Amino acid sequence: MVFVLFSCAKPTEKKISIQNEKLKVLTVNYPLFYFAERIGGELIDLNYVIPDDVDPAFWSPDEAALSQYQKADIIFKNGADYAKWMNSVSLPSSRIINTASSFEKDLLKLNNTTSHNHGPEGEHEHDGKAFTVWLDLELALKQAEIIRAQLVKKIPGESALIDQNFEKLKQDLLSLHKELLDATKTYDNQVIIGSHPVYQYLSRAYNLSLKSVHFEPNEYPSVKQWENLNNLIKENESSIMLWEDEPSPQIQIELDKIGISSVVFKPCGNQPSEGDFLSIMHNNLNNIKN
Amino acid sequence: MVALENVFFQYPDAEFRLNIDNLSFKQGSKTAIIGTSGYGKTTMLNIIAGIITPQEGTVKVNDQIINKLEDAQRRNFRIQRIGFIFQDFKLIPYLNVMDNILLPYRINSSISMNNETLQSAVSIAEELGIKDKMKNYPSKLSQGERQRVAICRALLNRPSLILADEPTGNLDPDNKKKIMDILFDSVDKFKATLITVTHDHDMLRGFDKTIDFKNFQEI
Amino acid sequence: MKQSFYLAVKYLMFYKFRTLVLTISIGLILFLPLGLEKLISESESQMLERADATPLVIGAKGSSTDLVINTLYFEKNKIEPIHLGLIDTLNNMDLGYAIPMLSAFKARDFPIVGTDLDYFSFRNLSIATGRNLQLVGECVIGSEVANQLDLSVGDHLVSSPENFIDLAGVYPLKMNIVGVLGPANNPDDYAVFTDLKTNWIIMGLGHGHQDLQSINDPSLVLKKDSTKVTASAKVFMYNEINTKNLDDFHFHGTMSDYPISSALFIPKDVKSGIILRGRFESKELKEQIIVPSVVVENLLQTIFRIKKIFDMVFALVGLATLIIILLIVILTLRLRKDELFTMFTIGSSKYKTIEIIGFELLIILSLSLSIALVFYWITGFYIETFIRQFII
Repeated sequence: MVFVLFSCAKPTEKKISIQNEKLKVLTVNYPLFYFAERIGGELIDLNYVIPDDVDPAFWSPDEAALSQYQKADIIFKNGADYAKWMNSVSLPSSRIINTASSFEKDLLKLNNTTSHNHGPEGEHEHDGKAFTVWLDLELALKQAEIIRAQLVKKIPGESALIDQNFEKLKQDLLSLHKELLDATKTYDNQVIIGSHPVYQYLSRAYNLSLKSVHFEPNEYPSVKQWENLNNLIKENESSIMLWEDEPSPQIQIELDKIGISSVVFKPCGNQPSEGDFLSIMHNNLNNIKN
Repeated sequence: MVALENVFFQYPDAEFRLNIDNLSFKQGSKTAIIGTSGYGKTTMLNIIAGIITPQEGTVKVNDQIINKLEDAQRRNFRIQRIGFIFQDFKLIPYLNVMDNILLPYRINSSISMNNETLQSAVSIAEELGIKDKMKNYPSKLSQGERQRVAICRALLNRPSLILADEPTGNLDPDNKKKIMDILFDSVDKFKATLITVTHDHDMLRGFDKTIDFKNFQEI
Repeated sequence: MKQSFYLAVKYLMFYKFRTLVLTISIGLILFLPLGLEKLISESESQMLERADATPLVIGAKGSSTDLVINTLYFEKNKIEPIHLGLIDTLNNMDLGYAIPMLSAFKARDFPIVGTDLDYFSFRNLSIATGRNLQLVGECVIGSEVANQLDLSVGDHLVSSPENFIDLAGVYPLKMNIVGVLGPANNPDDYAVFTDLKTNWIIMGLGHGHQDLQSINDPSLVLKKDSTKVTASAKVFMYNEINTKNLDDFHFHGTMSDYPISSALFIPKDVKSGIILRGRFESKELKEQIIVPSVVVENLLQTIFRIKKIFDMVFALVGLATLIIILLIVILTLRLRKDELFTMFTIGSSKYKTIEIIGFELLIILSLSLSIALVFYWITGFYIETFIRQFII
């Protein structure tokens, strides 16, 4: 009896396990975050440090967020000079991955935007590029492929799972791409007005004729802005306007007056309050179809 | 008592020879040796002090035949029993008055220095009127003061024999008399034998005996 | 013996000047070969350590020595720049990672080293006070820069107008010191580290100015239409970057074309290093790749040859000095003949005299040795200066 009690009281061996720290991954916008999440999943320590209420393209990180970027093992950047804040901060260059590196030559220059030169020797032009590359889902897929390749390089032991995850994402993106191609066929002969110059890649990929203005969904445009819009409509006989978000009722009333239908196509640069990238793009697709 | 018998000395590779048949000095006597330079007066003093040894003869100091002693024995005898006063004082320039007086104790271990020695040095310096100069260096002293230091050094160990080679040679007339008075007083006090070599006929008063070194005849 | 020592000390103290001169000259003679030996051997080990800690350096074709010296020691020399795009090319090879380096400017005689955060982790540099770089316009200074210029976090450093890579433009910039590095005992202690982009701003490839769209002063605008504004040279360029104007800073042209002095490459493993070197040798890449330790060893060989000559010279000088000292001793003894004879007359032995003189020489030798040791110890603080002045 005593012997049994004694052996029961013997302490069990403490299990010592060594956990490798997960790869710390950060991105400069939501689409890349989504792709990394789909591909890397639980294998990576993925964080999103961009506040909800900003456009990541024009955001600058505060000290806390910058510190997180500095400590990251990988930073996926969008390319096309998207995150201009990266030109003002110190980051380890070996850990910055340009997800547009495989299609640099396909990047679009900004048209009809004001740039500046200064001289006398400085006839330097601002090299503006359009940056919403993910709206071309084939380019989005290329971005995802670079993410996949980088994660496989860093976590070679999990390459099978990473590849598997990527394949699923690839199917989703390609299927959506095909659907968008079909849906935009009906717009072949129309010139669509873009409320903001953010639809360049969408227009190229899906054969949309697009002209842009600078309208905010929640800001009633000025007289001059209405004038510009009217001129565009007249010149191009347009009847559809793409919006980043639902225009305010006030704006919609005016648009109705001039025979413009609003179609919401959210660029989804930042994290949505509901849904995810794919669901937002599906919503966009439905809006286009309707 | 000092006695030289049949002493013959010659420096190596030199023509000079010193012959002394018989010369003695009573204990406690004050003798002046006069004569022109080059006759060997200083040599004789060196022989009596045991600094050099004659090739022949005997040199007796207080019944000790010193020329038969070994080098070290002669040195020790010299430092314990003999006080030497030089013409040009021969003070050590980098030692102050106190250290100059104590010099014999620092260069020969057969006599050891203790508190008593230090007190004696101070006392003898006071007697000779140079107590306030103890920390001074020879370059800061007058001729008379330097000679007093030399006398202090020679007398500190209460020698039984004092050898003085031209002790007033470098002094002015005032100081000459003072120094000789000091010397005679000290010799009387310690009951030492004084043998002085001198050119200075003015200083002969006060000596018991004056010997002409040319013929060793008493004058 | 105590008395002999006493007399010896008295002699040396009385003739202070003579003693000082002898002591210092013997001390110097003892120190010189030892000091040079220390300088050279410690320089050698420091330089080799620095070189061994740097696996590969890539730069424009030309003098490999100049390239290594500029990259490892941030020393001024004429090397052709290479392009930043090479860093991406190297990183994409999956053989390791590259760190861009740009040493073209100085701030109060200390080199400004443009690089990125990887450099600090690669060199194990720790921040002693403040923080590491975050924004352009900031700098982190080495411990010696902080000590010698009496600077700390919150102070500023302005870049000097001159540059040493033959660049067309130099735009002095007032940089904010945000951190001070802990001592590293290597050239990093003497450097002012900035982000690469800060260097490009000093170069004029990037700058900040007021918004040209909103300029009202007509003398500042040369031409304006709906798509383009051309400003005159009168437009004020900011010479300091702060939180207020940070967003106004921008770069022109393509960053991958921007110049860097060289790149450090840290291969994943030995095989990757060899593969990369093979790619350069096969002219797949037009720049040159060098192994710093090989270059430094060659450089040091030259120094060793010169050292042998110095050793011979020191030996001869030492011998001459010894003879002179011997002569001085003999002459001094002659001068002291009287004094020594006085002692002998009074009752000193020959051996006592030797003892006294022996102690004098011993004391002088000991003091000389102490002086030599002090100089030897001080030499340790000048290794870096020696490397910079005489080796590189």
